[in-house]
Amino acid sequence: MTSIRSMTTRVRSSRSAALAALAAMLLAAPLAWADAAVDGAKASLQVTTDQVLAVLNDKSLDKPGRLKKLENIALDRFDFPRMTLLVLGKNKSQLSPEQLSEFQEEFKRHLSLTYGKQIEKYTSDEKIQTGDARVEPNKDVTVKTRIVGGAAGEGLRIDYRLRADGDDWKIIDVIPENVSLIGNFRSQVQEIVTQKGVGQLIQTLRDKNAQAQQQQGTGGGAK
Amino acid sequence: MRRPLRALGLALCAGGLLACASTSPSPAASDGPPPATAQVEPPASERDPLQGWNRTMFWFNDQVVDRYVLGPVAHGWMAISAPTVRTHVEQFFDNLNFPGYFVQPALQGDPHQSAVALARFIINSSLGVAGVFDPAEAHFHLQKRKEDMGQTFGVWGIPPGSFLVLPVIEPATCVRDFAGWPVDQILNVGDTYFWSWFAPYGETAFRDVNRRALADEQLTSIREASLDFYAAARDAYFKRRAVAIRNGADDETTQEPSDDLYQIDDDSSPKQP
Repeated sequence: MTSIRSMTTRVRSSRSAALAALAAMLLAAPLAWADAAVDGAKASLQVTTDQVLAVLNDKSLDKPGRLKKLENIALDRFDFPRMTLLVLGKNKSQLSPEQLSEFQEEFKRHLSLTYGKQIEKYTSDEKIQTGDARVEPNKDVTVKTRIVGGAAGEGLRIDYRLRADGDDWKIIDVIPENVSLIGNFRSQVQEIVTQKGVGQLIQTLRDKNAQAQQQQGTGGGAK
Repeated sequence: MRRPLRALGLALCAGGLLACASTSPSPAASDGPPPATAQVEPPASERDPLQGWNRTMFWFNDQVVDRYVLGPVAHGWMAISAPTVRTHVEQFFDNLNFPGYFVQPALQGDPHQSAVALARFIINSSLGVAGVFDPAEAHFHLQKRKEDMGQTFGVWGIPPGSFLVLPVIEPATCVRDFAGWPVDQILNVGDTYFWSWFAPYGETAFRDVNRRALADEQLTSIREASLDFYAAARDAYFKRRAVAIRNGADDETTQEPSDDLYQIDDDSSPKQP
């Protein structure tokens, strides 16, 4: 009697153990994927910030040289074609193929110029802390970072959204203090296209770049 | 300096309320005949029926007030003050916002945050030397949270309404947040123009100059990096307010807009309304 009962409980417990194991496996598969994604994205971002810090701390570089290197990092680590498409959104259909490629080129230049200039302000006084990361519904990964100390003062929160690119992860959005760069550009693009048309959009971008390039040149020359 | 600013502020306050009154019904009515300003492409400026006025005022604030008055004065102040000094000045003024930071969370059903605000005020006013320092956050882990009437309205589910730019006093706001302005004028003492009626010196002007100095770098970079400064500022305003209303609770709650934002290029045929 007792032995039978103990046997049934044993059977039941082993069956429930099997069920639990199965459930765990089913649950763990996507979880493991999410973990891997988060780790991959974080590692990729870490490589980027390390590269940036190395350039910032390299005292042998002069200002134009440093900017050039920062731009190159940006070109390598950001997925510019995708960012261009995200920024254009449905306005893309209004651009001819030539206009699209010109916009893409100019926008890439604009981002790498402004990104380089932003980052260039920071020195070794600031520290970049990498915080939590989360997987978005579309499997992008958003990694939170915080810049503290030095010119950042109270601390500046910057989130990066990354998308898988083969084995690697590329940055597709920068979100300082909750304001998405892509979202912000998209609303500007929308505004300009609605009010002034596509031609004006490309012209504005061209002018901005020329201006930034010029400033960068004079800034470097003054040193 | 104070007198004209104050008078201007009040005149605008009245003007702004009139604007609220006259514009708030229009979005509801816009379902039928499209408003006069509507273009082929409706979305982007949907929250901005006052765009003509707003752009003019934005230009005025940027190219006249900031370029010739506020900016130069702020740069003068930056030349003679250390960044930490400016931060402490701001902390002093922000500490005075205690009544708002205490009352608003209570109205939002978050008495815990009211208690945090009270504790912060007591600690920072005493140990923090009248709020100049922030030991409450540094040593007691009591985080600052800015609150105002507009945020409470937002928590109550009132939509932001139209974007609104007012000369000098409100470079960026919206109808909902401006409707909370009178309450903020009483409660958020460190932010008000109202209490400067009773203060004999130019504290309000000094506070604004200091704030402008603190925002200098950010302002420059947005100016340089934007294609349409006005549209960029408007977008940033609505985003920041939405986050403030959620009290920074993560963007996990914002899935619909952000997903749409990142998805659209994969959909070759965007869904047109």
